[in-house]
Amino acid sequence: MNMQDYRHAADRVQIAEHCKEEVLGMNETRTARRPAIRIVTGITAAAACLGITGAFGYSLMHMKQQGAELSAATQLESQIESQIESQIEEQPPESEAEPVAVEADDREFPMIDRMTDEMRTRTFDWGTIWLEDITDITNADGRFPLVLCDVKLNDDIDIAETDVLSMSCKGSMYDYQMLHKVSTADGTVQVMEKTPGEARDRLMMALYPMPEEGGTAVCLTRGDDGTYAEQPGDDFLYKEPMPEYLLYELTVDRIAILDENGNEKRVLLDAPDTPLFKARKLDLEAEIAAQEAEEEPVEDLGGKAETIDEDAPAEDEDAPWTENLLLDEPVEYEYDFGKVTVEDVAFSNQNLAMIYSFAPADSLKEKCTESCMLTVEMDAAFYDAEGKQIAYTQGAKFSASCADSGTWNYQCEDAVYDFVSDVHRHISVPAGSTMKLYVSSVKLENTDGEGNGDIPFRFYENLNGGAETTYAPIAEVVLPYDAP
Amino acid sequence: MEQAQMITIYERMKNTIYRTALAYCRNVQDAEDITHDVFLIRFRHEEPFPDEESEKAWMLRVTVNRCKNLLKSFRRRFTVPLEDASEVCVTDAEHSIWDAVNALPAHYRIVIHLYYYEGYTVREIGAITHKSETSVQTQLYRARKLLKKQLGEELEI
Repeated sequence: MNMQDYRHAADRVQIAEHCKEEVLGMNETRTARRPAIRIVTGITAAAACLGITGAFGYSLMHMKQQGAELSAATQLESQIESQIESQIEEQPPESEAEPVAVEADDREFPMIDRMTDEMRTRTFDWGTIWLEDITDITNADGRFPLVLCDVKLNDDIDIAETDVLSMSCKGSMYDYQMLHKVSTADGTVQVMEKTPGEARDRLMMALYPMPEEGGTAVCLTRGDDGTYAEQPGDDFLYKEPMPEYLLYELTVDRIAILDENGNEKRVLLDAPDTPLFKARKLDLEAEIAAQEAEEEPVEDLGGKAETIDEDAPAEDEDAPWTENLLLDEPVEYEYDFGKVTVEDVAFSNQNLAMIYSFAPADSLKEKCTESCMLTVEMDAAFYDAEGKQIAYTQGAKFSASCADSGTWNYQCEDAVYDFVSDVHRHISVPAGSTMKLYVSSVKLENTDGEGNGDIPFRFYENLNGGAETTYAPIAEVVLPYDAP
Repeated sequence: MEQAQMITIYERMKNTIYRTALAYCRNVQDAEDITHDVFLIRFRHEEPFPDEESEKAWMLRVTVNRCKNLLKSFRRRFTVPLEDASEVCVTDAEHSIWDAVNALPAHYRIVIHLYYYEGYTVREIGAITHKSETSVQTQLYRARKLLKKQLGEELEI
């Protein structure tokens, strides 16, 4: 399998014949090709959980019922169904249908701090599960939501002191676009109450942001001493900054009582993917309104074609910063393996941003093949007026494919960290501080596309943070402004 | 512009624009709308192009811009495509790689499409997508990495 297969498939893609008539007729008023209904992803998912098929999601959007009970949704089903059916049967209008604004449905993802007791409670014949809160925890990886649930068994449930209540569940996070989803590992609750027949304990699940592809996250379980310990998941696929998560969904698979040996005594619930709770921390409507305010207006071709700059670039998230540049002119340093040129350096938000390039020596060029990646890592160390180091970066690096030989151009950013304290935290650097810029390493990696190839050529490697180095700094700059 | 000229341009560029829009937007309706818009813009562009390649690059730039605008529009985010073009695939390999490419984020999909299907260089892709060569190189690298992760050792890329 290779990209030729993609080419073969793409070759067969042909635009429909009716488009020719519309285009060549200069028909600006397009016949609506879209059906009158568009399925909304978020509501579809929510509607599915309510036992309503996705096709009804559109009308569900229009039915914003505050605080509607879960059971009431089934009563709406026939009403929604007839509405949808009547819309499907309608002929699409000649002019393009007016898009309908999406409204947040409080019933589907109510705000956690506005949830009533009824909304927080799920009752079963063996007990109840109560959604206490969704809060945040912070660790070295970042800030993540923590779902807190309390479990209470009915008095008639036989449970011994040594028994364990095991609840296997999944937590999912979504951004309000329903594009990013997170999964969690199983959660297990230890029965704490000594009184037989009365058990209540807390399940805490930390939702780590990961893409939909998989991986497991962490579940916190309560130990005998009442403290919570982390059961690590595995294979966090990505730890990049992720977008704001607003929507949280807790789904249970199985609840059972286990004896002291871990054997199942009684299964209380066996319902894969049963949704328990959906909630959101932030005001979804406010977020949507804020996003709408930032949106570029969709261009209206009618009557305005002459004002459109068709060749103008759309918003480029990779556009380099241009303010607060620190170098008067590019600086370069030639090593035996090549030359590094730093075009410029500046502070961008709270990061030190750099634009630099690397021109390999002939001896290095010979080793560069299409399967290689060349990584150049830069470091900065900051010193106060007395020459004492106060801050450092942790290695800003960029990799580029060797497929196009020549000079490699890089731009990257890295946070500035406190050198003095033991806490790994960002620090601002005052004007008058001296910044020393180093080339930390130049590495040529053989990759197999996985990015985990060996590193056969490690041409230069320095300790970061301005430690002892064989090479002198490539640049020394006195900061003219307070670095944020 | 004369009708005959419009027809010539349309017949020459229709599938190039449509396939690129489809690669970006992943659904037929949006790709058709984008294609329609791009040709309307082209037909109103009075300044001549030095050659067909320049015209093609210009039209692809417009296509990418329109796709970006569409994907950023608020309402577009809250909808799912109702129709895709996966029926063009014949073999299992084509299905696999088609699905894998379409599962990539939009900015990775478009560089993969322009690089491997249209045959543009990194520099040319940068000009079309208004990105630096470095950005394009990185996006290609990351896209290949994701495809390899998705398709495993079977994929030669």
